[in-house]
Amino acid sequence: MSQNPLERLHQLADTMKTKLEKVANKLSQLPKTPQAGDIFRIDNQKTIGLLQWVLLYSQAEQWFIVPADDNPMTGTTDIAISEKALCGPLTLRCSQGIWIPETNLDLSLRVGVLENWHLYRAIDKVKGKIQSTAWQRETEADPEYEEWMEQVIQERETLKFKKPVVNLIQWFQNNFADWLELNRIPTNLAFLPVRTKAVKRAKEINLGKDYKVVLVLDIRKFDNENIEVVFWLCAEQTALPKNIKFTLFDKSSGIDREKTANGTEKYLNIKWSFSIKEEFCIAIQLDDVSFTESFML
Amino acid sequence: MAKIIKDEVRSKWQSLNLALECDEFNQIFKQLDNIAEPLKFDTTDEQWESWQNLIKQINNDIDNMNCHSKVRQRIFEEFQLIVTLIEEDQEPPSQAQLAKYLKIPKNTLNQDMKRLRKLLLQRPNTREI
Repeated sequence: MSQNPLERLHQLADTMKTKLEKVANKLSQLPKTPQAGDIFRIDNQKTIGLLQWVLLYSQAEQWFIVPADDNPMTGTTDIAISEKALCGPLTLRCSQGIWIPETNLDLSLRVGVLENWHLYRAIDKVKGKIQSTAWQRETEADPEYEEWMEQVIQERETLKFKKPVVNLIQWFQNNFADWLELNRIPTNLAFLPVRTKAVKRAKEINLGKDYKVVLVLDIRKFDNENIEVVFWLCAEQTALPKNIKFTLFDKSSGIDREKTANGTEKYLNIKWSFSIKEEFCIAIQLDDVSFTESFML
Repeated sequence: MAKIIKDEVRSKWQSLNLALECDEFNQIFKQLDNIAEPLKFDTTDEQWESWQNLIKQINNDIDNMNCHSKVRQRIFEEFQLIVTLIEEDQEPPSQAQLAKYLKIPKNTLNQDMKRLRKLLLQRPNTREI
């Protein structure tokens, strides 16, 4: 016997209400910091609100997040979350993940949470440990699926947060943003042979597992067109860890300069000269954690 | 008249056989689902790892099956589908639906399920609970 449509509507509304109450209850029990498995909405003027974002794992104050939507079409790199899950049904687009700084996550926009079971599935999918099915391979070739994924990619692109570029010319005008004087950094940098007449600033960098290093720049003007920069990478503890890589990419000339610690040095340094309007960046890599900072003159 | 009766008995016998054969897929599904179901609410790292290891072991067993590589590949695909259905918390389809979806004859699927069930019975943690 078919159900009265109005009764069915009431039933659906009740089910939805119960589910929302459960989600709200679960969210109220969560810590007041972002956690793996959290589902966020991210406010951005350019997005059309097609997606939610699931936090999978973090490194050095950055989160790897994957987009999620309610389109049931599942390709080879997607994970379907059934409606039995607290926040299901959802489809996680695991090949479309991006890294974003934790500071870009607004806790008031945390809208749900994934059960561990589904979180592990998504992480394993990202790492290529879960195989796809014939059905998913077929879906991948479906033009409707391709069209949907284009929209997902388009929305994802609007969320790629670009780290601000550090303008070193502003340092000569006493505008240092979040770069601190050397004596205001908790690590004692007295041993560092920085140039006395140069402008010097430092920044602590977290490379994960509570391991920190300090990046120091001392810059000096040759003339109005050219400056000389010394980049210092200093250990917070006794010595820099073996195999930590310190690289300078000069974007204008395309030249790279790389130094690797052997486990005994307290610091590494790279000295380079730049002209006005040149852009360059510094990369620090320890195992699979990396940090980059871009600069311009 | 005798021919009609014989045909009817034969067709009833076939449908009875088919119904019994359907159990093969459902039993595999239930065996694995019994392991996975309690983990879906509160899984720990170790539990997830042991589930993944179990799947890997069965995949290895399929790899080592003494049969044609095309059959092995087909059983691997069928097993992958069962695992995905369980992990996604979906209702199991009937064996006939599964055969239709995989575009293979029901008898072939049933034979594959029998082989797969033999493998599962060799694994102590996948024996019927």
